[in-house]
Amino acid sequence: MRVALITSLLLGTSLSSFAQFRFDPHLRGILSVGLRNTVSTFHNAGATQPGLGVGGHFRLNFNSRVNTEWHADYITAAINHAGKRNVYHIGWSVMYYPIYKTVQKFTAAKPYFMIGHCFDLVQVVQSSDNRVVAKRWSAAPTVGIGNHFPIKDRIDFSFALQYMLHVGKGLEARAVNGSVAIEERNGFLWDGHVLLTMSVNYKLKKLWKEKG
Amino acid sequence: MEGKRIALIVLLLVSLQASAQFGQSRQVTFRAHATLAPGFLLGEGEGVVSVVGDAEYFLSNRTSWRADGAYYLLSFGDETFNMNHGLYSGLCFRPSLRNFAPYVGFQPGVHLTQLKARESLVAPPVSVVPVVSGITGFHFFFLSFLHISAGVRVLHGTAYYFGSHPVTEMRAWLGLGWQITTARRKFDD
Repeated sequence: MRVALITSLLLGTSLSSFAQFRFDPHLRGILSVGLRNTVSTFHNAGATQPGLGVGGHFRLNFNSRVNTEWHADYITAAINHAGKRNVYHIGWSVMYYPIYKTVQKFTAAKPYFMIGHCFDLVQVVQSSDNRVVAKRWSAAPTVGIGNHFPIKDRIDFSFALQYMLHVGKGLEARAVNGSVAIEERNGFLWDGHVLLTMSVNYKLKKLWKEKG
Repeated sequence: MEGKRIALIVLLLVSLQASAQFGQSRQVTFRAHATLAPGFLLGEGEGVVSVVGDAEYFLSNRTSWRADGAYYLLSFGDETFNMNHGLYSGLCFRPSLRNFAPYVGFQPGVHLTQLKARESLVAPPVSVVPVVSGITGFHFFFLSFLHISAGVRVLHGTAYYFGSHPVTEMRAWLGLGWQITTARRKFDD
């Protein structure tokens, strides 16, 4: 219900801004590189507190309104005193800038919507013998909002808030008597978590030039 | 009395000369530096010492890409960690590149961490811990190839081994570094 509401809100706003769609062709083909930290709030698989992650991404502008982000993250979180959960994300997002004047000029803020997808590997590691006691691959669509805070023409800080919805086999990990107890569920599991990402980005170069 | 007066005048002249040099603009392409850095583990309440080093490429007069490393040496407390080395990379910003150049930076990174074995004889595993870190400080370029580097880093991360062990630390350093300047800069502000 919550996801449906957020999705319809984002879709509605995007469609209304498409009605007055304009873009500056000179901003296409810009390649950026960024480093990032991610805070992940888990609600499943036994993680008992928010996880902190580190990663990086590339960005490639298709035009002044549409940007893409290709990212990889490594996130860790605790499973009580018994173990930890290592998460590896690799994925991509499409970012859409709804406010044209923030695209065209160097402004204090540049908000965007984002929608994407990532592959996710979860490893549950038991502290007593440092053994990976369970792992799970899953696919996860993401949806979110963000904002670039430009420092200079080539540099910006970005903050993004995303909701990630995992689709895959269920995996629950609990701490029992200092060990990790695993419960795998058959069938598909829908579970999600919120990711808060902050990154610093540098525009490397323009990959292709305009014709004429 | 006379000697003191002369010493005061000399000191004043040197200070004036130095302050005049502070504002002179400077061209730097690459700089590096290494030194000892005392730190304090905020979560564990423990004093530590690391060897730190950094290398910085100036993308423009105001911005630079900087990579740092820290090698954990010793602790003045309970020795929570057997190993707690760090690697960080990110961007630094400064108002302008002058002889005296203060900066701030954001550098995500990782720590290679191993806790000290306590009750068990089995050594705890080495784990890779994601960290978020911010730095601030200044460089003072006083020769064409030498500068003074001073700064503070605050970092946060947590190692998990039978519970949470924060690697959260505040670290400071002061040392000598060197720099080079190439004839042509690729980017400028």
